[in-house]
Amino acid sequence: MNNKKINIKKHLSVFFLTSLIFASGFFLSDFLSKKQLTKLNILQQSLRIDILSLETQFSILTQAPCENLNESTLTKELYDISQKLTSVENNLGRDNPYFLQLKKYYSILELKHWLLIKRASKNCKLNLSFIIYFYADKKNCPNCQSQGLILSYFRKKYPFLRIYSFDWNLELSALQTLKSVYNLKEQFPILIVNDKVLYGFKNKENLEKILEKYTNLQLLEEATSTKATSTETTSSENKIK
Amino acid sequence: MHYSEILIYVGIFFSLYLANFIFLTFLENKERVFESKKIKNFPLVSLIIPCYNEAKNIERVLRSLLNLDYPKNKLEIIVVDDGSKDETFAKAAKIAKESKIIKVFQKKNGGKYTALNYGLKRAQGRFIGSIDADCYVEKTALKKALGYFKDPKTMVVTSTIKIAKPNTVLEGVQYVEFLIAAFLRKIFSFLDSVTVTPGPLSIFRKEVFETLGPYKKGHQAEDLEMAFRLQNANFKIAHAVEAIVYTFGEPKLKGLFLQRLRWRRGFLLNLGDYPQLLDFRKHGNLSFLFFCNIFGAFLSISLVSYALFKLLASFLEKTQQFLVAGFNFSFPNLSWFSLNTKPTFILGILSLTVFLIYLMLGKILTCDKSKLKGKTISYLVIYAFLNASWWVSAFASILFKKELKWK
Repeated sequence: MNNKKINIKKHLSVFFLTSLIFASGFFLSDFLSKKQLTKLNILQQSLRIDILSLETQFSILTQAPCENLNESTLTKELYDISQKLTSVENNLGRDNPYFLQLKKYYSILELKHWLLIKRASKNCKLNLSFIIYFYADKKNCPNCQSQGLILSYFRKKYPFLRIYSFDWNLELSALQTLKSVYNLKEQFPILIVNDKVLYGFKNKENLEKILEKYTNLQLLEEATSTKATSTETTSSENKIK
Repeated sequence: MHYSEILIYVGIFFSLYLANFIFLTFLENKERVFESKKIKNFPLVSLIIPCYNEAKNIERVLRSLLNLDYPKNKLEIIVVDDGSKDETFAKAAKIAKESKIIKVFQKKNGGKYTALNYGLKRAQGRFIGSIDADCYVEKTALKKALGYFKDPKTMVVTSTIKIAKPNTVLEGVQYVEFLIAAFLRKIFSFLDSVTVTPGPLSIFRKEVFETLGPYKKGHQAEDLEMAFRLQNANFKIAHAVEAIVYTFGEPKLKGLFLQRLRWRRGFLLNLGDYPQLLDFRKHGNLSFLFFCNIFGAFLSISLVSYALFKLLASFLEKTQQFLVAGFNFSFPNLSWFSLNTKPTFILGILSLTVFLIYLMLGKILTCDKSKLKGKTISYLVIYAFLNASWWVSAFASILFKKELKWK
């Protein structure tokens, strides 16, 4: 009968031990997340340097440095960061202040990349086309997730496409400027295909037609068929995979 | 924090608490794990085998009992055929001709507990054991179990049940489940809180039946009812982890479902018959473990429901992705960044580690030499879902007062 008796001291020890293990789990989680953030920050800094370096080259040389331009590497770097950012978002949650900070920084990198590559495409005749995609949360844009998937599909199908996705609700002055330049309205999803603004969900067929109309699709397909360039950007819940 | 996250944290904290409690109990009693003392005097032992349509199995169990490392003149094997419709009686009678210690009886079908009681009335031994007909025992099982009766307070000794020849995935899952159960039952015995005297092999002092009476129907779980009655009378139940008996796992989902539904339903209904066992002041650790069991059942149902909901949502999302963008599979990017650093994930990994430690302890304590990798993976993938479904069905069958048909 004695062994049946509850041992309060034992239960207190168990409670203390369990709380300790439980707390260790949280500390470990926090430690690993911060490590991830630091590493991501370093990667972003590195891309920033690459972009700045290229921008500087453009400024120094009267002619665009087409022979030195490694556009696909820069694009790949940007895409890699977006993938990592998505993982960090999954771990920390989309409202985490550290994550939001990195997301803002990433959006600036996207904008800089877009401006630079757009210029390079023109000067070096890269025959690239650009899509800017504004998404919002599920409540305001139920179709954004599907739109993101379709854009992912197109990014893989057409290597000449450069797609940049931005969170409409991200508080960033550079994005506000972009919105006012194109005079954008809150009708999601928003696509800007080579400077042409389009509102609402576009399925595969629609988007194919739009690309044909605004990007000279066939010509670009031929031009890029032998070129092994890759990928573009992503972000947040409506990520372009 | 989202409700689902709170639920997961509660589940993990509860599991870790229980795991630490069990582990601490193990450390406190590690010298007592193999408590069996060598017996010098061999008392008369009666082993009762209740059977119903066990023609396929009866020879195997009888041969294993005849092969026991125990003086034959101190052994009495009582086969009670509970009105079988097959050759059970004839087969048992045929083997009985080879050995005088086997006595075979036949009676009208009345259920397992009636067959056990029929055997009890005819048992001569100071110790009486019940053995399921679809089992077979290890040669040393009886000696090892009887060694626990050196403690005069011990009234019943239960044994370790292992799944014989696990071939299918489902049998593999049961194999792992039983190994862990062997370890846990040993721990519960240190707390005087064993809650079942399993049919495959349990040995009783005769006084148990003289004091507490014969077996009862116990909502078709007479082994649970008997254990609850013993606990209610504060009779000590020991667990002989080293006394091994083999049983055959349910090879099919339906059979397993019906068996576990009967066990869980029996647990709940018998607990309803002995509500005093939930009184912490009288039954301390036993009450605590009962509460853990019931809380664990609700937690298991909630967490599995949530997991199923998430799986369904993920499936629908993938379907939508497929419809919208076609097949667009890309390999996950495995890097430092793909590491899930959520507390739920890290604590989940910790809980998994605890489970694996228990499994290893179960394996060591029962001297198990089988390969467990495949079985463990199957267990981890499907057991939680099976367990939750058994509990849901058990609660539902009680709520809707559905009687189970059993043989």
